[in-house]
Amino acid sequence: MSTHTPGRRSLLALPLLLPVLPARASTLELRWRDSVLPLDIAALDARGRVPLTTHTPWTRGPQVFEGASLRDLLPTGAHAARQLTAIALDDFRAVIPMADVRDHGLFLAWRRNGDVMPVRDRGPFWLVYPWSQRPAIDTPEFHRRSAWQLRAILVDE
Amino acid sequence: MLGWRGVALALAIACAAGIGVLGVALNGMIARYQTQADYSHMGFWQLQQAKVEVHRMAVSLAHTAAGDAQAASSLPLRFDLLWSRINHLDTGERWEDLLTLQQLRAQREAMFATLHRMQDGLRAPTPDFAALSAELRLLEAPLHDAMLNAYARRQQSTRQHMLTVATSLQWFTAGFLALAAATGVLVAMLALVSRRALAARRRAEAARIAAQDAHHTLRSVMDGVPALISVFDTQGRYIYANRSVCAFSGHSEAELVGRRPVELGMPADIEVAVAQVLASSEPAPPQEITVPHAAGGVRRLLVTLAPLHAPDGGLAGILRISMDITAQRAAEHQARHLHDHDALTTLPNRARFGRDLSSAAAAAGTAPLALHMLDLDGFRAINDTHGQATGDALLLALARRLRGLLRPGDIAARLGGDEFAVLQQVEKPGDALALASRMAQALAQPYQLGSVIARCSASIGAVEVFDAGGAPPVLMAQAELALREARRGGRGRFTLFHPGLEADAAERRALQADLAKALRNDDLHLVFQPKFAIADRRMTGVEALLRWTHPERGAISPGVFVPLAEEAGMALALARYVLHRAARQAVAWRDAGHPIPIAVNLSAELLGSDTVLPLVRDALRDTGLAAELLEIEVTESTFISDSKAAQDMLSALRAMGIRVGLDDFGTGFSSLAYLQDLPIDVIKIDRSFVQGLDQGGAAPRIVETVVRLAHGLGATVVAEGVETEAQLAILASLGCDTAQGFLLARPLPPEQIPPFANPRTTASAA
Repeated sequence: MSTHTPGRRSLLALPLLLPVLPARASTLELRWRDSVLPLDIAALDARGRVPLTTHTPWTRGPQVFEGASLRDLLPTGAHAARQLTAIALDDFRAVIPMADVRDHGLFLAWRRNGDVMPVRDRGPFWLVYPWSQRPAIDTPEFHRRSAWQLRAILVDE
Repeated sequence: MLGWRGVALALAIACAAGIGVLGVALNGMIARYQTQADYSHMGFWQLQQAKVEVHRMAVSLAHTAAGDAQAASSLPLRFDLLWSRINHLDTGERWEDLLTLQQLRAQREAMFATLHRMQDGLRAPTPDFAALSAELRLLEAPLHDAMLNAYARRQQSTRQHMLTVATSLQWFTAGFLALAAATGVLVAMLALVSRRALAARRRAEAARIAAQDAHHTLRSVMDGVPALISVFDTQGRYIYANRSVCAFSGHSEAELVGRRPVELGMPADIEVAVAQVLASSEPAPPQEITVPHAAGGVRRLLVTLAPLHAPDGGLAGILRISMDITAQRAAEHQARHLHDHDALTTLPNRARFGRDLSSAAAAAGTAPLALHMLDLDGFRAINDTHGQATGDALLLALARRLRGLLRPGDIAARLGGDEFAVLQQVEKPGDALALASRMAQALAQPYQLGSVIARCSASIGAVEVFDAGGAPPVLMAQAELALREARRGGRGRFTLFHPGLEADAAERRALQADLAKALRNDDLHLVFQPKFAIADRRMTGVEALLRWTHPERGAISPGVFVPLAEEAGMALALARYVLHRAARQAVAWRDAGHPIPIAVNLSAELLGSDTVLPLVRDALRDTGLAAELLEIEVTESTFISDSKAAQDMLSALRAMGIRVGLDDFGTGFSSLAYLQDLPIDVIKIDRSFVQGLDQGGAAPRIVETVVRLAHGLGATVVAEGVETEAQLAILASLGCDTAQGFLLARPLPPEQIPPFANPRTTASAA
């Protein structure tokens, strides 16, 4: 992990050698190189969250999401990766170019309108984009990458 | 002169603007159509996801019911996912115009009521999985209907879109012609203005500047027009080319002017067309041509040429105007193709095939034809086992193989799902069967799909048409009838239609109606054939056999009425009937002090489905029969499709404590490979081998091998159809465990069974 920029808060650097937990709905696995980082909402909340208000094609009216942008969440070393693969609980897979992380504000939400999200309502983790702020990416191409009921994010080098 | 110039300028600008607006509108329309298609695709996708989740829930329920602990622990999450899929069908702003989802909205309340009932059912201390599966099926129907509707609507909107594109192309062409006319005027003006400017130069410098300005203004207008405009002199050399021409050809105006197109490596037909107009002095009508583009690829151009006359009436040059309509033509082509073809295989779809069949049928008097209907055997099992992506890959591979078998002029189409059709040009009777045989053979070869090797065959029904006048729906029905006949014979068969089939079909329908009535009125009955240990002739159990005595036709063989029931979708009802009757009888014997194991045959078709497990559990629960007293017999053909579902089902039955027997062993054509994955308790040697035992030949060696194989796998061996003492003696010497046949006992009514299980024999065996 010597490739990490020192000083940057990197999630992967903290509990690096934790054993892989069985996939529960409330845990999100972040995989990069050989490490697996299970993230639960408590750990993510402890790290801090920011709001993102946007509309989505699947909801009515503006939604207040809370979470973190992938740009902040991923270690800097991973920013140079080729792409991300988002895997949902039903094994749906979306391939997301790294440009979405670097330039398009890809955002991991774990709260919506003040509450955590149940599985029945696209929770517990949902990848969204700041569509309201950037109408240029409010297109089917980007909608397709907005994976919900997220189980894991793989960083593909 | 300024007034002229003003008018000409206004004209040119108006035309350019008009063309621009049309072009933008057309492009906007294509983009809007694509967005609409994207969203309708997403609507489709949502429906598909909901259906997939319903299916996964059904599988989880079946596994949980069979005692699979892992399935049980994931059941709540599965259910949450299912809930979310149903919930998602009704959210979102952009899909409000998706009528399909709107239509589902009407059913939303009922669907959620079902979900709530399932939620309560899952939370019960001992969930009733059969009831839960039944509730789940309630969710499936509206989803299925909505998908059919969505598909129909998409076809409709594609058709609409195609019409709109065609209409706008007409406007586009009209606008283009107007532009061409205006540009002609403009170029004439350009010449005029330049000449007058030349004259003015001799008079005043100020006038020269004014003329240059005018010249420059006109050139800018020409450069701004989204069309390729060039002027040739009477020798066919460029004297003017606007910016679009330069960009398209990859040459600057300086390179072009003074040269002929061929000198610059451009297609010769430009020069030919220019020469024709020079010769005729008449404008050439608009024409579509294909030309190579400087940046690679080819483009479609709409071209017109017109002669330019000098003020004295002589020919001054040729004006050539063309417009790049590649994108419009491509959109039109794509829209037409989408409308007529299956998106996955790109074969013609049902609508297109129907039109082809109509015209072919009308001409059948002079060009005889054959219609083949193809239906894939076991496709659903492949979809279920390997996933839809593999299923799609299989369909693609199969379509490719199918195309390779046809001659030019023959047509293959995908009618939907796993149904295909072929329209063949024939010359003489027998051609259709020859092709059907080739297709059946080729399509049955294994398919390598990535890392998966899939086996799938096609059943084929064909009808030959040598006279005009056959109505397409009638031909389709006749081919369907032949197809059904082929399917009755097993997998990968083909049949040619003949009028006898129609009479057979009517007769079968009548019998099926009678059978349904017999099932309702409890007019079927069971008989039981005992099986005996060869060593001491002790009865080891009985096989339950279903009998039907028709009120008019008398006894009808199960070999006749069981396939009929399966064809009419009564297989499940029949299985339920037999299981319950047999279990009740076994309980009655047990209560009378005779715990006699009872074997029941289940059809191969049922074993691949999710319904058998609940059925068997219900029978055991309703009658109170111990699982150990029940044996389920299946035929080897169950495994021919390599259906993992069937294997899972049998493993689940075994896990419940039920014994599993393999019937008619040795008659199927399957590999022995499945035996290693599937624990089998009993192997029944087919009667054909038993009857060959005392007639010389290889039968004894085959039976001996099977006995050793079975014992090696830990299974016992039952010989079926034993009719002579000689056969029994040979079986004993070969080590066979158990025998069944007329020699020992015929199938008997239930009251005659207990004497065989008398305590004396049991005691001596112990």
